[in-house]
Amino acid sequence: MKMQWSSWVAWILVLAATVLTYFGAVWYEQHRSQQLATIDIVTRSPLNGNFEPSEVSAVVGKPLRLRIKNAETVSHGFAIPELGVGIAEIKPGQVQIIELTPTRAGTFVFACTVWCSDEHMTMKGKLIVTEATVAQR
Amino acid sequence: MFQTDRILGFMPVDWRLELTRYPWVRALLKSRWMPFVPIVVNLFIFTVILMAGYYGGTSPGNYNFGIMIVWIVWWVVLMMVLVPGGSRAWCIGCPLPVLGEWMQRLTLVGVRHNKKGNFYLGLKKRWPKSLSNMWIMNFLFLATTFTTGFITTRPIATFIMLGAIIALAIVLSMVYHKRAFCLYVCPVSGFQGLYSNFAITEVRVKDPSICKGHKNKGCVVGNEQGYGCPWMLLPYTFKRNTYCGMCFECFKTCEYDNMAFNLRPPGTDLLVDDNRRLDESWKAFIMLGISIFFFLVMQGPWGLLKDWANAETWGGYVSFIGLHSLFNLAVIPAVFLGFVWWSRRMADAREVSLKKAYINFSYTLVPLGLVAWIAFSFGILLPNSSYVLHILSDPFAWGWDLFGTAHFPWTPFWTGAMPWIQAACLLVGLLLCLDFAYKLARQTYCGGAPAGQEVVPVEALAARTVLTPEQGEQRVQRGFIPIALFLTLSTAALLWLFIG
Amino acid sequence: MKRDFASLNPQEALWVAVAIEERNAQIYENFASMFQDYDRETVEIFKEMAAEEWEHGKELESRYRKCYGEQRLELVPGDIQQPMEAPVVSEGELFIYQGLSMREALEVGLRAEREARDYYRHLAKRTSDEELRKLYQELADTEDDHERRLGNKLREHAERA
Repeated sequence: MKMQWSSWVAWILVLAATVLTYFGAVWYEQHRSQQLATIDIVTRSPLNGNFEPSEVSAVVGKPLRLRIKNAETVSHGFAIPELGVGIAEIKPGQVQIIELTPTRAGTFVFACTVWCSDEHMTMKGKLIVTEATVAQR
Repeated sequence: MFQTDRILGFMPVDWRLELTRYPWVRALLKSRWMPFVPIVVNLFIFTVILMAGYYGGTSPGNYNFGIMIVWIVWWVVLMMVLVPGGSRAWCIGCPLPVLGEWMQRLTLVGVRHNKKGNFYLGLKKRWPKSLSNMWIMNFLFLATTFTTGFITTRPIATFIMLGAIIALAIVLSMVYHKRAFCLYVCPVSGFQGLYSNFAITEVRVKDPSICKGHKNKGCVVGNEQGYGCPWMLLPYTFKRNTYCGMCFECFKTCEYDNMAFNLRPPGTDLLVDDNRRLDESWKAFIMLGISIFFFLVMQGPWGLLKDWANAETWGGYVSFIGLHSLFNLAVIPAVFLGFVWWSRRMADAREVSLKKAYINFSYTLVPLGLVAWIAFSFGILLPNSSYVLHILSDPFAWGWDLFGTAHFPWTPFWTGAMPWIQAACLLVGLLLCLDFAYKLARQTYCGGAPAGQEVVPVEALAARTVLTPEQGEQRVQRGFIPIALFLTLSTAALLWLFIG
Repeated sequence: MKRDFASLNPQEALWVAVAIEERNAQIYENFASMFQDYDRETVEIFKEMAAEEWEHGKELESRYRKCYGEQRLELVPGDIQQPMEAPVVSEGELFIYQGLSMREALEVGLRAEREARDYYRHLAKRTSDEELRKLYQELADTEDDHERRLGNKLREHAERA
């Protein structure tokens, strides 16, 4: 059956509202991640999983985005003291962003900075920064 | 106050302002793009909700688009604006059943019509007669509230629930005829239907005599301009809003342009003695009961109830479900029955069946339940609405900032005034309840005769004498007192809950 | 202003009777299409009734032509004051509560048949034309039979419900 113009318009609107929205959002996020390397870190109290992943890697001189999400119902914090970056508080369900460019190689500890549980002092992870290889330069 | 023909003593019950007298309104409702465009807008929002629910996982929901939009924005707007203002206005653009309906019709916005009538794909089975009532919706809505500890806090739970409802709606559309899902299953549909009796808008015919002399009921069977009523009603006989889904299909199919969209005083349908039934009465009990239980769990100071609702322990969760169900399905109906029995005795109206009185007076709980929900909604809106600015900019918690509001801090507003706002709602609601209770007492015990007229009691025995106007009025007043007492005590209990 | 049907002359009475049969036939056909997706048994009842009404209408029309030729009158059933209301299904939430559907439909038909039967009996008493009286009496008897059949179906339905 030949479709009328109104049917075409209706189909375009429905597809835009649904399929295009989904793929558009996913494409935009992938594009953002490609522009700036993004590492997702989920924060939970030590008994519920601690930082996940607990070790992340970076390269000297390469800009990096750490996307830290609090998946619990208590507040957490995040800081890398040796690199002088941190977030005072990540509320339950909230996502916070740290953008940094490591300037030296080494293993840097990141830790929770808000008293979140009895095991708060063990809520730690590592950022391992390596020198850029020839290919990475 | 308590005049038969005026609400709160000043709004004439039969006052109407026909909004479709304005050509642009009529043109809008007759267009096939209405309600298609609102549906598409909602489809977009639902896509984002489902995505946010899926990607949100089990994280707390306050920074999640799905949780915020569904349980804060939509629920509050539904209770405060859409239902009291627009009847089943949400149903106009609801995206839950539309995929199934489009599959039935095999068209998005057009009309498939041939010599045999409108075309529908699917098995087109009849809904079982024994289930042709509100009971499934009553139990389903109650069951949904058992999960309140999860679906309002865990994004993935909202995703699963909405996804399941959409899937169910599609399946039912392919098996049963038209909007069987909306009429008999959708948890939201049930309470919207009952509370729409209180709404200030309606769809009715303009001139019933045109329909009387008109043989081909296009509004029922459909034609090239549109589909027969998807809600399986006879639009030319509408007396109340309960089951009209406001799809405006009858505006498109009526060859005489005889359908009207009217503004009217609140609650006029509560006085329509047509098809009042026990399932609708229980819907009124359940809605009132849930508003109380939700307040206790979500806004009350009792951490134990929160733990129970969150299923911290199995025993606690089972206790929550048990108490919740008992309260809504048994305690409130039983207490109300006691007051109705007392009312009937006080009115000395033995010829009126207890069942009829019970059902009639249960409709006084509609304004009470609605204002209880509006008061509860303020308790959600004022502390939490600032989260909406955040989730608009970062709907999936991917660190976006689309509109520059992602870092807007949590900012409760007017929370100091909240108890007074809630109290004001409840007191206005009480006034309305009392007014309708008196009118319903007159309907129940005097057959609806206005004050000053002789009364032949409803279902009078053959030997019963006619009551004088004074006797009729005394009967109404005596019968009204116990109902008024129930409504006042309930409001007092709600006031104590909300303002301490 | 509506006219009392006692004031109709035989020609007018026969003309109105034809129009009533045609009107009711169309209404029953419409009922059949309304119930098409909901209740097959009710659809069949209305289709039968529509067919019979069309047949009566044709019979009356042929009698009219025989008596009065091709003369047309400006008179419709709506002009007559006495109760010969068009059968109307007025239960708004009819299809939602399907227990009511067949009963309501049968009651509508029953009312319409009763009114038609009373109307024809009245016409039979008034007319001096022997042939017309015979016709009106036959039609009254047929409507009586319709009413009996619908009454039986209503009782059967009530017993089953």
